[in-house]
Amino acid sequence: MQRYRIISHGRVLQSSKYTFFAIIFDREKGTYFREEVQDCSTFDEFLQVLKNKLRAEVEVKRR
Amino acid sequence: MARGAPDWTLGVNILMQQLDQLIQRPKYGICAPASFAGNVDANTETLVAEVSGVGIIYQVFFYIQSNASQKNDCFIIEIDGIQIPSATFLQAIQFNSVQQGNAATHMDCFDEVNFRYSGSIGYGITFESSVKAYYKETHGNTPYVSGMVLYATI
Repeated sequence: MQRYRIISHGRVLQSSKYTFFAIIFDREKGTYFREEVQDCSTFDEFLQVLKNKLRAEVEVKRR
Repeated sequence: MARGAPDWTLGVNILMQQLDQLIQRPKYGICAPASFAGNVDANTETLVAEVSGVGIIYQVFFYIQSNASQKNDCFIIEIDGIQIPSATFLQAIQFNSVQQGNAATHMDCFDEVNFRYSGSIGYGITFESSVKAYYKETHGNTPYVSGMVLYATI
């Protein structure tokens, strides 16, 4: 079980590129926070940037 | 000395309580905006916003600024992979869809002199896996489209 879990995620058009965002649950603190990454092409790329930024694995909520 | 079963082991039938009303609702999180802004491509559908998860859309607002008429363009919402039929800006005006709740799309501004258009789409639409917002350009222009999807997820 990872510390960080993505509850929902998405992307929006910003200029001619997409900004990816995610609502993340922090299991240690019991709080939610939002992270954004600009100029990403794919969700996997966004996930990798997120992992580097948080310095931890990030779990994606599957339904 | 206490006797009998401890109260934390007793089952409670909530429907048997003396309550004026009983409200059950999904636990949605806080309302969040997914704001978009940029020039869209000509003669195609451009994805302007996407949210994955389970939740509800409160509203989708859009504002368009162009150098020429965009009256036959439209905004399209896709819920869980299914597109909701949407009126063009002109159709919305022709059918007097200018108030919330009249139709899927309603227009607030339809300015064919300065080529400004604004409006919004529906409210209270739930989604189980994803919601996507597209701008459909039909005039061969690249208008500047901005707005936001107001949503909450479970």
